[in-house]
Amino acid sequence: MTGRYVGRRLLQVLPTVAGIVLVGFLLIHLAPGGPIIALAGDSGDEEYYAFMTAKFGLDRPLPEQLATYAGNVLRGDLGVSYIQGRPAIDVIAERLPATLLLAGTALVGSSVAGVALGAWAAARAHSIRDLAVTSAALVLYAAPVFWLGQLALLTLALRTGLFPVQGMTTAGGPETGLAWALDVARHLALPALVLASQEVAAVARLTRAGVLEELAADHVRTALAKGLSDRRVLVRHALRRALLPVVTVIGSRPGHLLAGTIVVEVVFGWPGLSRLLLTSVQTRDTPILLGIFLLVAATVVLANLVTDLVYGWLDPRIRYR
Amino acid sequence: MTDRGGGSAPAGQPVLRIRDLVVEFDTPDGVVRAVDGVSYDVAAGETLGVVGESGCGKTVTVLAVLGLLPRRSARVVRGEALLGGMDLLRLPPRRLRAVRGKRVAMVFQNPMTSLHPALTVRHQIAEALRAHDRGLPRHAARRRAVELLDAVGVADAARRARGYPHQWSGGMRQRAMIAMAIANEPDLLIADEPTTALDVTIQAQVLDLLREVRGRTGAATILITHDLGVIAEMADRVVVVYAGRVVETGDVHTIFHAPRHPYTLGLLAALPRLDTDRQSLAAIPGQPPDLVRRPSGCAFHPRCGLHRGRNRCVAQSPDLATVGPGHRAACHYADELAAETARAAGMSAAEPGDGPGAPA
Amino acid sequence: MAGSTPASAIADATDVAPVGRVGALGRAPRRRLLRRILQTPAGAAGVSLTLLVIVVGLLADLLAPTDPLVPAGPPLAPPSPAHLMGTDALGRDLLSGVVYGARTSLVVVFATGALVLLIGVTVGTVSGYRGGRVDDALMRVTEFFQVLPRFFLAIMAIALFGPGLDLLVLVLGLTSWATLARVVRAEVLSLSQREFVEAARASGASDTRIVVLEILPNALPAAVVYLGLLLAQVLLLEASLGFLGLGDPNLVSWGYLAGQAQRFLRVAWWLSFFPGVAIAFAVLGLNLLGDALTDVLGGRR
Repeated sequence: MTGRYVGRRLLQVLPTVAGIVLVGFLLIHLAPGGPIIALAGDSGDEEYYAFMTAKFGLDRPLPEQLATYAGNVLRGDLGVSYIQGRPAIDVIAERLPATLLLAGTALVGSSVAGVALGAWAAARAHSIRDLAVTSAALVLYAAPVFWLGQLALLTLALRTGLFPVQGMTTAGGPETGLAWALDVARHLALPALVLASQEVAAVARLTRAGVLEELAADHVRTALAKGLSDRRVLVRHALRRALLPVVTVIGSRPGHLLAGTIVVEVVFGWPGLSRLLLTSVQTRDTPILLGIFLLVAATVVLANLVTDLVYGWLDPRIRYR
Repeated sequence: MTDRGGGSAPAGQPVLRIRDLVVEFDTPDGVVRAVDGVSYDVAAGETLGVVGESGCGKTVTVLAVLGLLPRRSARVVRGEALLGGMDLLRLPPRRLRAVRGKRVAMVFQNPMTSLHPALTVRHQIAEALRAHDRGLPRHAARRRAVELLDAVGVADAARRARGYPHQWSGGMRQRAMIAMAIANEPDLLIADEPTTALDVTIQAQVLDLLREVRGRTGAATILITHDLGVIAEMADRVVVVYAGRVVETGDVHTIFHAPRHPYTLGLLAALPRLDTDRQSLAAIPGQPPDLVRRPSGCAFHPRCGLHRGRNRCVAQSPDLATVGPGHRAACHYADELAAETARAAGMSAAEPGDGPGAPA
Repeated sequence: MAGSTPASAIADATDVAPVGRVGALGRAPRRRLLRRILQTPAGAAGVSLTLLVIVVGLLADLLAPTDPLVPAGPPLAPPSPAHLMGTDALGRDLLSGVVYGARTSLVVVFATGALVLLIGVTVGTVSGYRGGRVDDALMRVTEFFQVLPRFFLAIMAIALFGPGLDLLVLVLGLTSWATLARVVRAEVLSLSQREFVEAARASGASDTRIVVLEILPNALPAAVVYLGLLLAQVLLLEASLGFLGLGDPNLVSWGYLAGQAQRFLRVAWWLSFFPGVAIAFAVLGLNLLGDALTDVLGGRR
C-alpha cells in the first residue's frame, strides 16, 4: 500500500470531522432555550451558567464560539453531565465497553457468516440451498431487530431456558477469570446473534450478487480453463473481486449497527450505552447525548477510512491511481 | 502424476476428434441449437482454422469440449470429443479438470478482461503451473512463470511479472495469456479470436508468437476467428462453420482458391484487399440466421446467391460431401461453384501465408 | 445432478446467450411495466404487501374495530374472536393499534419520501448537470450526509426539541437523501451526454427547459426505484425510535406497540408478535417492490 494513498485518504477525513462538529454546534444553538440551557441544563444555577458561558465563550461572537466549542470537543472535553455531575466523556466511557463488545461480536460474526453464506449460495445459483439462503436473507433484512430479539427471547430463552434472559452476567456469579468470561459469553450469544442477523442478511445478499456477477466474468473462465478447482476459483478469484462492494457495505454500516445495538440492548437488558442514552433523553442531558453522537460519528468516519484502505488492498487499480 | 494418456501424438495423428457434437441452449425465446452436429479433427503440429460469423457456434463447440458451458442454460445433447481415447464430454469433473490447462489450454479473445485484475501476472501464471503439479513449490512456480513470460517476449519479465494486469498493455497481456496457456506444454492449444481485441500492429506480433510457439512445442492448434486474413496467415486446414454446422472443410489452399460453398465464397469476397478501398467491400447480404427460427433446408439459403429459388435448398438440408481430396462441402449445388470459383480465383488477392506450417 | 460438472456450475452464472440476437430484449414500454412486475412472484408479493399497508392505513377508521387508545376488553387477553390480536395491559384492542399503526407508518414514509425525493433529485440533478466545482462541492456535502449517523442524530434532536411526527419526518428526510442524490446524479450525468439532450441543446433550449423536459423524466424512474429500498430503511428506523418510546406520543405506531410489549413478553407474546409482523411485511413489501422495479427497468441491484 502506497503511503500517498493513505495520506490522501486521511486528508479527506478532515472536512467530514469538521462537519460533524458543526452539526453538534448547530443543534445546540437551535435548541429551545439556546445553547446555555442545552449545555448546562435548566437548573437555574446562575454560577454554573456563568462558568459554562465562560468555558464555551457563549458571550463571544458565533465564529469564536464555534472555535472554542470545536477545540473543547477535539480535546475530548464534552462538558459535564448535569445529572451525574461528572465529565460526560467519563460517564460514556464506563458504558462503552459493553456496547463495543456486543457490536464488535456482531460485526465480526456477521461479516464472516454473511460472506460465507453469500458465496455458498452463489456457487449453486438457483438451487434449493440458494433459494433458502436468499429467502432467509430477504426476511431477516426486513424484520425489525427488536422484534427478532423479542422472538428469540420468547422461543430460545424463555421457553427452552437455553440462554439467559437478561443482562451481561449472572447475579452472584463468578466475577473474574475464565468462569466469568464464559458467563459473559453465554449472555452475549443471543443478543449478538440477533444483532448480527440483519447484517448477515445484508452482507449475504450483496456477496451473492457480487459473486454471481464475478463468476460470469472472463477472468473466471480463464481460471477454470487453467484447471483450477471450483473452490479455488470461487474463493481466490470470484470472491476476492466480489468482496469490494461487500467491504464498502460492511464499512458503511457501523452507524446502522450501533443503532441496532442500542435497540438490542434494551430488549436483552444489556448494560451498554442504551440506558444512559435513554435516561439522557428524558433528562435532556445534552453533553452525554452530544458525546454519544460525536462518538458514533467518529466511529463511522474511522470505519469508512479503514474501508478505503482495505479497498485499496483488494483492488490494486485504486492503490496505484 | 505425468499420465498424459499416451503422450504427445506424433505429427499427423489426430489429437482431438470432435464427432457429431450437438449443443442446445435454453433462451427466453426457446431452445436454440447452437451447435448442430459439428465434427472435426486436429492433428499434432497442425493449425486448424475455424472460421465463421459471431454466434455461429465456433466458440461454443470448444467450450463444450472443455466443459466450460453455463450449466443451467446449456447442454450437450450428443456427440464425442476424443482426446487420445477418452471422451471429454463424458469425463467426470475431476478428471476433466486435470485435462484443462494441462493437455488442452485455451487463449481467450479479450486479454483486457481475461486476467484477474487484483492478482499479479506472475501469480496467475504460477497458479496454472501449480494447479497441475501440487508438488511444485511456490517460488519455483514463480521463477518458471517469469521464464515463460521471457519466452513469449515480455521484456524485463522478472520485474513486470510482479505487476498487475492493469499496468500491462493489451498486447502484453495477450502474451501473458499465451505464456499461461503453454505453461504445462499442452497437446492442444485453442486460441479463440486471440487478436480481435488488439491493435493491428500488435495483432501481427501475437500471431507471430503463436506460430513460433507451435513450432517450438509441436502442439496442435485450433485457431478460432471470424477473420479470413488471420486464417490465411496461420492455418493449415480450415473448417467453415455456419449456423452451428460445418459447411466446408479442406486445406487452406483449396479453401481460398477453390471454395465449394457459397458462404465461404461470400466470406472471401468480403476480405479487404490492398487494391480497393474499404467502401467497396462485398458483404454477404442479409443477417446471420436467427437460430430460434432456423431457416428450413439449408440454413444459408435466404442469403445465398446460388439458391435462385430452387426448392431443394428450402426443403432439404445438405450433407457434408466430399468434393475433392480432403475437401468437403455441404451444398446441393457445390458443382456449380466450381466454374464460378475459377473466375473468382483471379480476383482473390488474399493468399495463404507462407508460414512454416503452410502447405507447399 | 450427476451429469453436471461443478465447474460448469461456476460457469453457470455466465448464462451467455449463444447467439447475439437471441437475448436482445428491448426496454418494455411503460404501460406494461406493472404487468411485468406482477409476473414475477417476488414482484407480485411486493406490490400486494405495499398495497395492503396503503389500503389499511387509508381506511384505518373503517377497519379498526375500536379506538386504539381506549380500553375495549379485559387486559392482556390472548387473541380470540373478540380481539383477533388480543389486548394490551390496559385492555386496548391490539388489532386496532396495528391498523392505526399502518396509518402512522404511511404518513412517515410518504412525508419522508417526498422530502427525500425533493432534496435528492435537486442535489443530484444540479450536481450531475452542472458538473465541475458545483458537482465537487455538492458531492462532498452528500458524502458527509452519508456518514452522518441518522439514528443518533434523531435521538439528539428529539431530546432537544421534544418528540413529534413533524420533527421525526424532518430529521429523517434531511438525513436520508444522500444515496438518492448519488443515484440521480449518475443518471443525469449519463443522460446529459445522450443525443436527444445534445439535440435540444443545439436547438437553443435553455438549461431549465432541457432539465425539466428532457432529463428529469428519464432520470426519475431510477430515483423512484431506489426510493422504495430507501423508504424500507426509513420505516425500520422509525420503528426503532418508536420502540424506544421516542415516537410521537399522540400517535399509535408499530414500533411503539412493540416497545410496550417488552415488559409483558413473558405473559403476552401477541403484543410483540403482531406489530413485528406488520413492520416486517411492510418493509419486505417495499424491498421486494424495489428489487422487482430494478429488475424490470434493467438496472443493477
